[in-house]
Amino acid sequence: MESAIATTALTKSFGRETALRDVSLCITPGSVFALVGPNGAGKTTLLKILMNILAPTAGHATILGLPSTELRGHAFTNIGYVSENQEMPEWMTVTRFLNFVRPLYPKWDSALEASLLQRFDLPLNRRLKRLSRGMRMKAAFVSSLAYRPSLVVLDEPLSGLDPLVRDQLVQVLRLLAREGMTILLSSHDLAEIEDFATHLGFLEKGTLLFAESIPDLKARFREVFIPYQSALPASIPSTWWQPEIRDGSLRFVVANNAPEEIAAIHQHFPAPLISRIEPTTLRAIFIALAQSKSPTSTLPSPSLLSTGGQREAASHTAGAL
Amino acid sequence: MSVFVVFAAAFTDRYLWISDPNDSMPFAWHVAHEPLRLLAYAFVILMPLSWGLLIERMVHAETLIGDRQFWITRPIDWKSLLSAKLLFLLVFLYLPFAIAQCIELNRAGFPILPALPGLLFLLILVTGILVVPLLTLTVLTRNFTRTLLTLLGLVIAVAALAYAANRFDSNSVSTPYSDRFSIPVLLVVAGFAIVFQYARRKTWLARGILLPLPLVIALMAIFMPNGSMVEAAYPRPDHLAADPVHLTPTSGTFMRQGSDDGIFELVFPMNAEGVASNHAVLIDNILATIEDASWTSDWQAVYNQNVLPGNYRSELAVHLKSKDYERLRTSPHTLILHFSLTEVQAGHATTIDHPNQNFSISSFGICAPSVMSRYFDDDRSILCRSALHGPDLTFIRTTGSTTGCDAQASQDDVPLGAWEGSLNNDPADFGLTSVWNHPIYLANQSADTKVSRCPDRPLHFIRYTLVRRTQTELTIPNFRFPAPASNTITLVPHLP
Repeated sequence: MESAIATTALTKSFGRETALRDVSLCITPGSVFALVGPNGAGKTTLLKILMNILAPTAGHATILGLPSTELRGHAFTNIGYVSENQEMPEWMTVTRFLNFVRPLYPKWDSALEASLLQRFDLPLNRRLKRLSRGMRMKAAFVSSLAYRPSLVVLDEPLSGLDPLVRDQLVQVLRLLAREGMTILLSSHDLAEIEDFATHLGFLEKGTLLFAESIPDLKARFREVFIPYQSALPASIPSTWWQPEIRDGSLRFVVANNAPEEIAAIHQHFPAPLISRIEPTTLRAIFIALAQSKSPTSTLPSPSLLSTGGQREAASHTAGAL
Repeated sequence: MSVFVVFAAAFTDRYLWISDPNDSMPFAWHVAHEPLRLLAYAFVILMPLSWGLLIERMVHAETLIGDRQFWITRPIDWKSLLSAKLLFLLVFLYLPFAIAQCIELNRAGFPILPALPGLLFLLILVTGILVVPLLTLTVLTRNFTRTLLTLLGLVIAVAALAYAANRFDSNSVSTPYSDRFSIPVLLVVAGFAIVFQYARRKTWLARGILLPLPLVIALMAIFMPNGSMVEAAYPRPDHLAADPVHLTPTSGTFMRQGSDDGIFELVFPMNAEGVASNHAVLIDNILATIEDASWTSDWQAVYNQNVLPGNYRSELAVHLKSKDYERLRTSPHTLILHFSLTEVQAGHATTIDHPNQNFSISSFGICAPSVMSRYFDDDRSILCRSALHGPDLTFIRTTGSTTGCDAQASQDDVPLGAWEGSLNNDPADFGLTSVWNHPIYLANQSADTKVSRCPDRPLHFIRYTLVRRTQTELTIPNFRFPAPASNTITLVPHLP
């Protein structure tokens, strides 16, 4: 199998509203693909199409080699799906719920179930409707992971959860990802996923602006710092993204793979003036890409660019171009 | 809960038909049965409600509508899911109901084995009339509240349609056609919608599948009006065929206010005679025509006008709108009355020599004189019960007396009789209990005297079978409409 998920020109319209426009995507097996984008970007619509909850208006998708529109019944023995607003049989207790779903999966791993239950500390005799949001999500995770599916699709699984629960769930995902499980998860918060995602796709207004591996992304961009006391120069090349004066330095982001960019920097500022050229944060890359590719050139929403990216920036060491 | 209600209804059902003429218990004891009778009725009413709840819980346990991701993204095969639901219904609805009906029949004194085909037919009727509509409703709604609101909406819509239809055509007709069309259509269309919803979970499309149903009903109403059903069921006779009954108007035609505003009832006293020996004629429907005024009434049902050989007095009424009456009253007309008739022939007769206790009549049921009649000075009632459907068409006759009954016949003897049952031969009628009750009042034609049934005289049950259905007509020349009398019956001389 070449890809766990592949979409070609996937489009979904609701009446006159286009929720998803020509999305082409390839997710390789074993990757953790984070689909990020602001609220209303079309993430949930895309995931629902992939899970055959919605039918595409145009284009097509294959999931584990099957057309998404044929995904039903037995095919889900190998796919786990959890969404932010997970519907569950509320009247069941956790135990009864697991007893109910267990026989549906031939590959159900009781040891993994026990391990997850122990890790999550779920109240087994409580009805699902009486569980907190975090507990419900944990129950949904157990019911969707205990059969070791090849593919797990998670729609905003960490949204609105307290940090402790979030960390518990992320740890479990990290663990399963190491075992080769393909994970596709959506989020409107970059910080939620950047710790463990291997690939990143950015969806805005129904359009997939980019999708590539995080190491590649990080290798492609550099952040440049030049001692500079004046105001922001008027003639800055358009390929210097996010220029700003900060702490007595002119700072901007450039693509790492273009020699002409380096030449341009040296043309403006002789080599001795350049204080640092170092790998940049996902957040900075994100903003740069969003600005360069977005048809409307707007910044991603503040919630998308929360503080997680800055944590990573602090851990990077300076490097030269 | 539904299983409890079904069995509770089966075990209390006997209070709806219990009658023991040898019971020496006092009147108070019988009065004490009244709460139990009410309880029995309550359980019968609760039965469909509990089924509705059962079906709602069963279907909505796995929601088919809305953000259905949990059920769609699990490896549940829809065929297995639907089969599991149907199996659940079989075990918790059909099986208890069938067992309860067997218990009920047994307690009522009916053998179970011969009733099994009828019981099966009853289950089909219950499926078509209750289970499938309830199942469809729950499959196409999201939760209990929406189911309830939709049900209420449907009830209101049906009531409004019935009211509108009644305003449009308030006359019902009597035809031999039992509805063999609606239930199969409903089963096929609603069944398809249910299967489609489970297979595809496309609610609006599934709802769309049901849309042809009201369309079919509307088309049926348009293309199969009451009148055409009567014309189809009662063919006009050829010229050589003799009328099975001769109807002659007698004086005293009168007009009275009908049950609805703007409707009058034109009542014709008639003499009916000429019925062949061992035959009877049922006057089923009537239609009036005045050709010179281009007016024709609808076919209208006539109730309880069954004519036996001999001379028989009858009153036949035609409804007409007040605006028609105002138009027609001004001048005399030639009025033609058309009758649709069913001729039946006496067949198997059973005589009960001493009808003082429970007795059983083949293809009729189990009967006993009414217990309560002893206390209310009404000794002409007998209570009968039958299994799964009403009895075959039967005339019951016996002898009464105005002066007290002797063992031997005397000149004070008065014939008493009653018709019961129908020519419908379906193996079961729709009902939630298998035992049908028939209180039978033995009437006499001269109601002006107090007549008691002679308890030691035999009761004769004569079963009638269909000979033919036909039409006859009666022309009344120079007919002038009488003036209406709203609350009192005014006798108006018949012209001429």
